[in-house]
Amino acid sequence: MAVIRYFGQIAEATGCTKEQISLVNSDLKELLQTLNEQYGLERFQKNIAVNQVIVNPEDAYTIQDTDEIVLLPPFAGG
Amino acid sequence: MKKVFIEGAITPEFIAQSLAKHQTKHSIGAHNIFLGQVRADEVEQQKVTGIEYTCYEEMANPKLEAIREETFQKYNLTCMHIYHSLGLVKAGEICLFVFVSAKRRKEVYAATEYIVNRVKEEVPIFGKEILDNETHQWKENH
Repeated sequence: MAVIRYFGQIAEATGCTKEQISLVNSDLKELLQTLNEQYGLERFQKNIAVNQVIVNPEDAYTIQDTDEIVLLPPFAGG
Repeated sequence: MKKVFIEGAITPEFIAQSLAKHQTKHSIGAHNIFLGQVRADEVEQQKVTGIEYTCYEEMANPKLEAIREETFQKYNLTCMHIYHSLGLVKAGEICLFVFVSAKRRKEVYAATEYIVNRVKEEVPIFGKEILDNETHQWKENH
């Protein structure tokens, strides 16, 4: 089971901070598309991290069972 | 790994103690400190009363460690401390404390700015700005 996590305004829109989804051979781009439609996330500027590393969501990537995929809103430190 | 995140505001006492700890390090000739303070911005006639910070710690900690290492490689520093608040920090309180020390002053100015810029741009920290009518908006670094 891959884990999907949400932060800030994105977590507010999804109504949760974490969910586990069974994603056998799913493509990252397809997952993001599904989440955008499900929660209306299209309107948010965001970064995508896979296992703590920011990735380009346009790149082809097959999600692994142990992956942690995180949707990060704009950073606001300081 | 050095501890960066502190629950709540960074107090003036904490900053003073941090400075006092360096008085035994006699190779240091210059300190520089950056303090980020929560501003009571006005948003459509509402005032920001505080910022509630959260972060993605599993990514933030390695990123801060990398910033630390790269700063040491780039500048000739004796020591470096970065502290950032999590949870609620009220307007007027301190949420970011960057403290660098070196033999001479030239290095510390540039290093401080380098660290602050990288923390703001690269570390996954999020800020919920609490407004005085009990609504909120999300802070974004520009």
